[in-house]
Amino acid sequence: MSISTHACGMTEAVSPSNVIEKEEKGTSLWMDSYYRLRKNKMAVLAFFYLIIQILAALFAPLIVPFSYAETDLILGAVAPDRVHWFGTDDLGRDLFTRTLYGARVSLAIGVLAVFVSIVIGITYGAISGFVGGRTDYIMQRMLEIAYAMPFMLFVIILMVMAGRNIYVMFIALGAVQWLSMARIVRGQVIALKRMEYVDAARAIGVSNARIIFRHLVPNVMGPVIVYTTLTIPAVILEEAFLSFLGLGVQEPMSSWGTLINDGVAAMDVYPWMVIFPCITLIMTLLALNFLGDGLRDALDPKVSKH
Amino acid sequence: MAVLEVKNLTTYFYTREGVVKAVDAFNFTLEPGMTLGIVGESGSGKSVSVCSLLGLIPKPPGRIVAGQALYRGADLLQMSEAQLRRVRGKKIAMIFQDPMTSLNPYLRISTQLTEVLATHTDMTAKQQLARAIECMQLVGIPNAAKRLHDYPHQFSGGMRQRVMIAMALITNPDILIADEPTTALDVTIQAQILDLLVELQREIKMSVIVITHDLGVIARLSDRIIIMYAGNKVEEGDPDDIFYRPLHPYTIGLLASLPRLDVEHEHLPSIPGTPPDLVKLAKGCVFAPRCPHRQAVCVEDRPIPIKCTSSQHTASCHWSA
Repeated sequence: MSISTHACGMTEAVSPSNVIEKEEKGTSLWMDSYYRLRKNKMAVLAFFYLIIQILAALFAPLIVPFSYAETDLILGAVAPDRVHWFGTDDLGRDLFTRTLYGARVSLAIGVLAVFVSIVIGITYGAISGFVGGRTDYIMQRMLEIAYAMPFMLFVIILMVMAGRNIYVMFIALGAVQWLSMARIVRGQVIALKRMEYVDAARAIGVSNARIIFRHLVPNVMGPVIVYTTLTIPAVILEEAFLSFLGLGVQEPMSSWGTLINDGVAAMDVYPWMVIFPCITLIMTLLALNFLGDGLRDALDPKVSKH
Repeated sequence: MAVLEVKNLTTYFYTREGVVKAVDAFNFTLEPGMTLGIVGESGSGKSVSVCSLLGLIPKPPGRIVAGQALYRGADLLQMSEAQLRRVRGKKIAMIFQDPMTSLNPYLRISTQLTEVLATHTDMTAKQQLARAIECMQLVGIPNAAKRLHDYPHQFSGGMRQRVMIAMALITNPDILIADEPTTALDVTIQAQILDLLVELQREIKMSVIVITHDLGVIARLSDRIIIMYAGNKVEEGDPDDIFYRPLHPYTIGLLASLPRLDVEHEHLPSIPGTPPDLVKLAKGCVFAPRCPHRQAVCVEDRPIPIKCTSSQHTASCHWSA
């Protein structure tokens, strides 16, 4: 009897500190989210698909024996076979190679858009919404001026100023992408800043910057991620549009947008020229959507802890 | 010496409809270790008055028009935002009404509890966690070391309010302001939280300000009671004075409208009329339009607090003496 009580007392005395040691690891929102994301099979699959896509684009010269630029007019357009997996275009260039190289531009544009809209858009929107009053008014009017600027005019002005190159297109697309994000975040922050936990944080002496970035920004991550997964396809298509007008990627360099454009022109005769780049684009967009969905659920502590 | 001395606090909100006189010439003194209860109906200015002290009212439209709030000799109303931030949470802590929305759903309890310490002390992460566990045990959260790492939605309402209290106590504040601490909880949990507050105060010896519209809560907790009506203090006294010897017609009406088990009512008595529009307050007594004993002087002059019977008991009524 006395021994067992003693033993009980011992474990009780020891266990709390042990628990702290163990639980101290991985307490951040991001670590948790990572564990929850791992449970979502589609998201994991999408994640690996995107990784492979990115690696393949980066190491394209090591993967395919063909050049993306050299034409072979004698070969001409060949339907997909064992040598040319996606076939060749009307100039005899291997389409698989061109799709891989095209991923470089398209994915880079996507990453840039996400980066700009997250870093600038969230910061701008969160500050505007949180501070409110005259600051918000001025920041929103500035946003509207940027919105009202015709996109094409803006690109052309940039071209005139900086010359025609692909980086100008990057800047042009980046400059526009954060506008909507800033508005979305502002709206969310305005709704959230009236929550009592913001008052509570203020009542314990937390600074405004910390309230914005520690308390409010994680709460807007849901809509932000959803909007991001919509942004990436939009910019990939915008790039195609600019390239089509001769303002973006120039021959012989390829992007998914230019490939699809070329493919559409030759669709009646060489359908594979439009099918394969489209499939690649769609697969990537689907993967982004699944990953975005998974991330949104994983970031919300209320959803998936069962 | 008083921990907190509020003199002539006047907070107005400048809205499109006009000036809302939310708090008008409000005075009180908080002694060390004392519990002050502020009672009033919705919109009577009880929350605005304490939020004004900590600079927590939205400005604009709010503005503290006049007054002093001496916390250990320093005027809170003259402090800059940065100075106030050092007071909030560390010296004067606050518990909010709704524990369901007062905790950030995206952050673990541990993060939210230690944030107070990270803001105000230079404790190491380990010390902060240890202190957080200590506080959670103090407020009676079982299995504190483990629950510390849970998210708010994993706690029940009563437990969340305990977490809020732990958060308020974690820096050993001088003053705890509880703004309707039990309003959002059901009755059995209310009783538990009230017991906890009484117990904690006895243990820690801090001063407490409880804001509520529930006279039962006030009776249980307070050493001293202030009755507010339309932004004005209408009566102040010890619980015995307020409950057994009320002087102001509003207090009398309020007490008469309490449901009682020992008296059979056909209808629960109520005070006729509705609270006044704070934009269009008449120059006379704020309660005059509803007062059963109204005289000509009530409509003309705003009464000043009059000391009656004992020097501790005051009422702002022309007829209370």
